[in-house]
Amino acid sequence: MSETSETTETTGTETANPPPPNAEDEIIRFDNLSKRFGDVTAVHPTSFSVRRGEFFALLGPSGCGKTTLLRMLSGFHAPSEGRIFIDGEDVTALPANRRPINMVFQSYAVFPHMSVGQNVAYGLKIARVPKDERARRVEEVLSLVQLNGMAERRPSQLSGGQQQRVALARALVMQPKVLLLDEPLSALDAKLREHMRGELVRLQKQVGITFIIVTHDQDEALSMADRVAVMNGGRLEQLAPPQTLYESPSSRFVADFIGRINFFAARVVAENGARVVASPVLGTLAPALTPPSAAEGEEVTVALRPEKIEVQASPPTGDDPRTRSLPGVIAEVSYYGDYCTVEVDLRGAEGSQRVTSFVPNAIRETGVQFSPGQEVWCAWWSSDILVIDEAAN
Amino acid sequence: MKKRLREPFSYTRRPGFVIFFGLTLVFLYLPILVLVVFSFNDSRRNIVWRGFTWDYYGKAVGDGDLMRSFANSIIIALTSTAISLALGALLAVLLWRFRFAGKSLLEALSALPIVMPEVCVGISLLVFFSAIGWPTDLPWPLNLGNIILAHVTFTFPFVMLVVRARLVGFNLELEQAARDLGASGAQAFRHVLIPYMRPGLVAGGLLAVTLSLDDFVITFFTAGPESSTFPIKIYSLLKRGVSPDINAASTMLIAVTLVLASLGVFFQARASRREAPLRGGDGDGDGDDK
Repeated sequence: MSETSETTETTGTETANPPPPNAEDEIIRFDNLSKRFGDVTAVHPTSFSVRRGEFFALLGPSGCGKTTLLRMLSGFHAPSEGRIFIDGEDVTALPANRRPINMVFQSYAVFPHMSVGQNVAYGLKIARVPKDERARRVEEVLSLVQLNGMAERRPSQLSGGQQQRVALARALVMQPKVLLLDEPLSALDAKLREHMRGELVRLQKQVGITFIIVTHDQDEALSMADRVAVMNGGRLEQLAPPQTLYESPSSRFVADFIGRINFFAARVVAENGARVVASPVLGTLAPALTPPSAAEGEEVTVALRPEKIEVQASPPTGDDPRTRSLPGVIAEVSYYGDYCTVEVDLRGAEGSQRVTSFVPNAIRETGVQFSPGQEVWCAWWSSDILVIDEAAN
Repeated sequence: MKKRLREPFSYTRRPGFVIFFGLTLVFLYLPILVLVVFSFNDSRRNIVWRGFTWDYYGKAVGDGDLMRSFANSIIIALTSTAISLALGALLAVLLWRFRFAGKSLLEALSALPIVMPEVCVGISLLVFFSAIGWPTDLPWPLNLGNIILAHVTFTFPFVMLVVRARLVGFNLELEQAARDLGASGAQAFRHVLIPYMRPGLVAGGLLAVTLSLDDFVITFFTAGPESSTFPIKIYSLLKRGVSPDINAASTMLIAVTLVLASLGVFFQARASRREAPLRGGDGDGDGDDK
């Protein structure tokens, strides 16, 4: 997956042309899909593709349109405009029961009046799959989700995690082209949630079906998905692998939504005939960081992740040209066990600003030895500075 | 081990509550108990206990008119309940599922027969049936038609209310899940919504049967000489004085009602027991997940 192909796909949402269809690779294509409820636009025209066999995440805060997008894909909402293709076939007009995809609902929606086995067999029964084959496939899929021997149980006898497995089995037994998961882990307690993440990834690799998960939890999306589509206000903000999202966010929203980050105000200025980014706190950045499309005088956002800032008790000695450092005073220290967040009032050339840094609690005997009021130096690699050019989006 | 605290709601340990509870029971059930006991009294006049006998049950069962009215009541109750169930359930689904102009008006109008004085309903039906020229000389059991329709008008709002109350708790994702797994709209309705409504249908149906069985006022206005029901027959027997066979007949009616009501309670309890631990959106997952 090259960097450039990601960019092409992301910018594809803004231009009218959808990315060129690649029948080999894509299983789902949204083509200028939009949804309005009365005067409210839930999803602005959006185009992107999901690749065959990938674990795909739709990530965004509540009300960002991710659920509406999922419901249009499953067939419960009709799009206002645009088309949906599943495996090359236009399914825009197909009702939910005739689309080759299945869904794990947020509430699991396990039928309370049927046994586990009857729940899992329901779709096969509707599809008139012969009884023998039905029994075989139900048994297979129950052992796949580790519910062997539970076929006779009533849903009310199962724990929340087990009910979720029933919902998974019930969808997987249909051998769908795509499995949709609507906030599947939101109702589980923290420990089980962690466990189920790994389980879902394992299951996806095992069955090889494309998974699309909708979630508002960035940890969930980053840890499970091959690629993540970040949505905000009914628009696609960025579509990229987790690492690209985190290290090269294309917008201030993505940078802010995923992980924690320090923002600095900055402006493009001319210096010695070259356009460079200058910030009151950080000073002038390396010319290589200047966004190519940014005009002189334009305001840009400069950002730095907290874990990329190293807090030091003494002035940096080595004079590595690739690093930068600034003095400051610690304002606050919060202890989290494995690390501390240290808030430092950074003193720049033409102003000061409070930044957050993560300091790992690396050595047990010394711990993290910083306290408020202490004079410190913050250092970072110049290449860790992010310059986000909002105007380019 | 801590000493067990006295449970705050153990009424039986407080004599005041026991007396109060006992008086309530006496107030509610003593008259009925007297009726039932004297149905076994071996005396024509019904005032002094003379010994146990089944005679008056035999007499009541042997009374052709009484048994015909009993059969009428059963036919009316079953038929009107079947119609009420279909009508009430569909109306409940309609009001629950859709938004449309005049919905709140329809809602209010369909619940109105519950509070309407029965005498008014009875008279209005009497006037209505004669105004449209409803035939009065139909052969049995078609002559029960107008009573059946009259009973539908006051029983279906109850069915509607009970089913509607049940539907409030329905998780729409259940129906969507069925659709998602390939079911058509009709199949999803049959396989998911109706099983979900079942406890409400059973409760509403039993309510309708009971209401229909013992209705007097409305039936009185709509029944013809050939189509009298059990309660009306008992009333007409009363004109000739209270005799133990009336007690026996009434006791049979009580028994039928009691059985139906117990069935209702049983089905309701079974349904809520089955669903109780099912998650709606708060699954805990602390069970055995391995």
